[in-house]
Amino acid sequence: MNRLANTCRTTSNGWPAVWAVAVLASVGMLVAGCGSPDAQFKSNRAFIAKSLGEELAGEGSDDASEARAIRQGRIEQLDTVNAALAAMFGQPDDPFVVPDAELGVTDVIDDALLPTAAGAVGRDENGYARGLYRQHCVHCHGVTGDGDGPTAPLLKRYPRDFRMGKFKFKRTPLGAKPTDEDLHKVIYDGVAGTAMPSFKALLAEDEIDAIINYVKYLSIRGEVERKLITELTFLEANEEVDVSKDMLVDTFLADVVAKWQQAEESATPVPAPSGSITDQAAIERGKVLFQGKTANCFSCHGVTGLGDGQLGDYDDWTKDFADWGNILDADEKAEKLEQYIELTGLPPRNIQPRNLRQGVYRGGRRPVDLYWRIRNGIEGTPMPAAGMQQSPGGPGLTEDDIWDLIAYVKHLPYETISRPPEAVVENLRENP
Amino acid sequence: MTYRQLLSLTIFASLIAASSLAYAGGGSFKGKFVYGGDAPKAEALKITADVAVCGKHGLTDEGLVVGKDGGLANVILFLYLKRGDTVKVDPAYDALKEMPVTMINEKCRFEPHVTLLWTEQKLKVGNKDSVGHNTKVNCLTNDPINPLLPANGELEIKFDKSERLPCQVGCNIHPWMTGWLVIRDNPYFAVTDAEGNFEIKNIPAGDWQFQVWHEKVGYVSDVKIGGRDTEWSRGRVDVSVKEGGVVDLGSVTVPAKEFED
Amino acid sequence: MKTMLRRSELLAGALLLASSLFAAGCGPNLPAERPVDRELAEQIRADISEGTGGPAVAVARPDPTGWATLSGSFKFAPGDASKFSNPPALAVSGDDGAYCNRGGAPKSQSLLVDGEGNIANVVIFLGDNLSKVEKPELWIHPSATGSTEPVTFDQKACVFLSPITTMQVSQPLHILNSDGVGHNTKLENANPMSEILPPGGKITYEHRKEERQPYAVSCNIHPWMKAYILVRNNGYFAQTDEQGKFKIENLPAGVDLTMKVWHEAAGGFLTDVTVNGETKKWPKKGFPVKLTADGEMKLDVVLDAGPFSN
Repeated sequence: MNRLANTCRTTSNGWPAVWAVAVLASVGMLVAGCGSPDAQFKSNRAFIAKSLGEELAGEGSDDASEARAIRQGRIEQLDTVNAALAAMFGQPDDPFVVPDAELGVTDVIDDALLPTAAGAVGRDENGYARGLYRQHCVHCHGVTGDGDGPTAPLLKRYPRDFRMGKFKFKRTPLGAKPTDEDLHKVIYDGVAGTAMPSFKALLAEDEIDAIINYVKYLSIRGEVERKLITELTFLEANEEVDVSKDMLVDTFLADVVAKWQQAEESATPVPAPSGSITDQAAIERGKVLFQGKTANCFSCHGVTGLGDGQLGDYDDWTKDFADWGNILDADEKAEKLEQYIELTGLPPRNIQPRNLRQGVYRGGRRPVDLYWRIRNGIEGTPMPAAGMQQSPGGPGLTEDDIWDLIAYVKHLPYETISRPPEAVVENLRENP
Repeated sequence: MTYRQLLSLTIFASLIAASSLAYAGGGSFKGKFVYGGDAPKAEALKITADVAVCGKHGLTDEGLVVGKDGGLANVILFLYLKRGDTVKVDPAYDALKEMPVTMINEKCRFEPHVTLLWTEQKLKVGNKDSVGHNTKVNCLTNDPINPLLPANGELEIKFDKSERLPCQVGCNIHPWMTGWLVIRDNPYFAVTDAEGNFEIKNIPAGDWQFQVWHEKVGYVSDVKIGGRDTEWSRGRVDVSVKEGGVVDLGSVTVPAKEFED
Repeated sequence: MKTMLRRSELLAGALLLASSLFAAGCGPNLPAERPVDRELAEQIRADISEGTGGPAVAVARPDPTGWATLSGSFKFAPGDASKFSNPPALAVSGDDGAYCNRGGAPKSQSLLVDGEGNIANVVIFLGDNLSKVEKPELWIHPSATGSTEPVTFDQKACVFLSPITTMQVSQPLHILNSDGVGHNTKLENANPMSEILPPGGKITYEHRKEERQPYAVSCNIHPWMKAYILVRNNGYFAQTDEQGKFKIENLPAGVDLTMKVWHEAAGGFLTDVTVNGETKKWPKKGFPVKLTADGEMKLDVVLDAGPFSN
């Protein structure tokens, strides 16, 4: 699988048409409905391997029979985790969320909208679309929302894995969930500079709503799965997993749902800039900040904004399994890499600071989009939140500094890197 | 004098002050952790960014720090509580609530390497370097943070929830920087000092379990006490605290092989 | 080209044939992806949907047709019987050592086997959750519910007098200390208790809910002391006597039941067995039985000695 995946990457560019045919063929099969087994969600195998890998490999003890017992115990616990997830969330063809009124799950996930996005592609008796997620999203984001659809390895930037519950482009601070409007923007406008297309011409508003809803569903399911797997690491292999309502609904699901409920109110307000952001003085101030140690932009994006500063880092989704940049031992790194590729099919790739001279802004090109990126940082990536002044005049940035930075960043694509001598105006006539 | 010494001195001083005012009860738990092998040579870190500033400090990997007499530093101990269980915190700790805990980016490393935070306290993240740092903390339960700290910048952060494992702290600008942040809803925790010693005071009398953790080992579960192999399941050690008593683990040896990857 | 197909297979696989593909190419340390245990999933869904205002998934089950008895015995194969006939002495230490060793060091009670290999203290109980059934009166016989008869749990000569206790949630547990030294009795269940009992002391403990397997009782002062308690919502449980025999009466007949079998010295639930001469592997979550009304099913079980140690 490892070798195949690599071959895939190197040969893929030559064969997009063949590949597309293959995908179309299998989608076609789906539409036809060939009476095959129901679709199933995949387990988060990388996270399981990271959390319990040693014990599942039968290395939980020096004593061989004890190690076997530990392995068996873990497998049974994971079976319980899978059953609990099925109990709480159903399966891809039959998604479900425990409709706990007290918890307000239905504030976050409108279960009436789930069938529009879930299940097989088709139309209902009234001619409304069904299975939109499988039609438009699954080939990159995967049935489980793990960002591991068949197209994923072909992409330079891997599709988002929703299961960690982290989203990059949003108006809310780190740790908070995106608002529906944030998710809407990504689906409606697409993500510039990546394979994520704009769906504005393809989907009606209510259809986009259904997909937003389903993405939240997959994300909540994925986060609850992580919590359950993490819970196992606090248990011995022979202990029973607590699958009571107390634990599953009132603890794990409630934790995740509460975050989504708070998304709207945690949006970062945007103060108006005190001057124009196309003003030359603002651009100049922004440049000084960009290259200075207070804002510190240059350390990753490079002094010239080419994105050539710190290059050895990885995003949180990739680092979830191992901190690739910090594994210094070559053998350990090779072993971990092989495991990771087998588990995910996706070789880890560096995250690169954006080259700001291209004028391509992933999360949107409006000044307000850049404001949120700079002010809040970008979740799941090394991009930190701006260090704001804690007291007037203290170290840190002011709101106006952020607008100046936006002014400079917006100006960067038009700025020359070198400084050619200014054109000499010849044949200057006096008093024309 | 390092920050940690300064900090522990202040805490100690305030504890004395507090204990003379409020009733301080319970018992203590102490011991010494020792590395079971020849002290390894600290590996030099590869300084890849801001070399002019960060390269001059001779930074070494702090994953395994062995001090005099083989004392093992940075072993973390904290009170293990089952979900839903709580502990009544002795009033001797009240004064700590007003004292923020500091975690400083200094000389391109985190000072201290292991930071202990009680959820009643605020965490003050600072930067004493002339270069900017971002301090990225990803925990299991609390929201992640990733503030950028300019030179001499400082930020107060409150974490509300107890963590069942130490959270890793990093700086993306300087990828070698690693620290650990222990967040608990009680102050019954400790990290071993340069000589491997720790002491936790004013623990309410009763039967408790303390969880023992080290960044290179994970749960410290296979140890030798008085030369005898001892197993602490998932790093949990039973501690029976008596009023006014001291539970002394004595010298606990963690075999060198536990630190291998 | 080959790889292309591989990826398209993955699409088809993810959508259509997930499980079979994963069985083929599994991760380095992990067992292959396993299918969801739908029965368990339904049981959990029923449990967590309770009181949520959601459609509790009714466990669609036929009604029982009457009452029946399950009885039988547990033993080791003749060759294995002698392995455990001599229980080891417990390592008695501490301040009370002299007192506790008065009559000779206490012996381990974790595995009691007679000369013929009959095993005492095997716990067998109904694993089904009967709180969700539509007609409880057909499932739970009056004799198997609501007992309020106190259960006595005593300690003497620094051992627990009953290595395994089986009881209903509704029964009060009288914990006694008939010893000359103090004990600290620690119940490791969902509502744990740890209390010091002075010599002659007595406390009453009430369980709040049933446990899915026997839980441990210990004494911190005397770490060798160990016992287990199984507490269930109904009375469908038994433990084998010194001849290895058990009997559970008035079980619902004509319906599928799941029985669980547990022994301390095997570290939990028993799976490798020979039942009435036939070698079987019981699932850990319990083995299925269906009883005939007014009948008695007899299970003569020979256990694999492998998982046992005393």
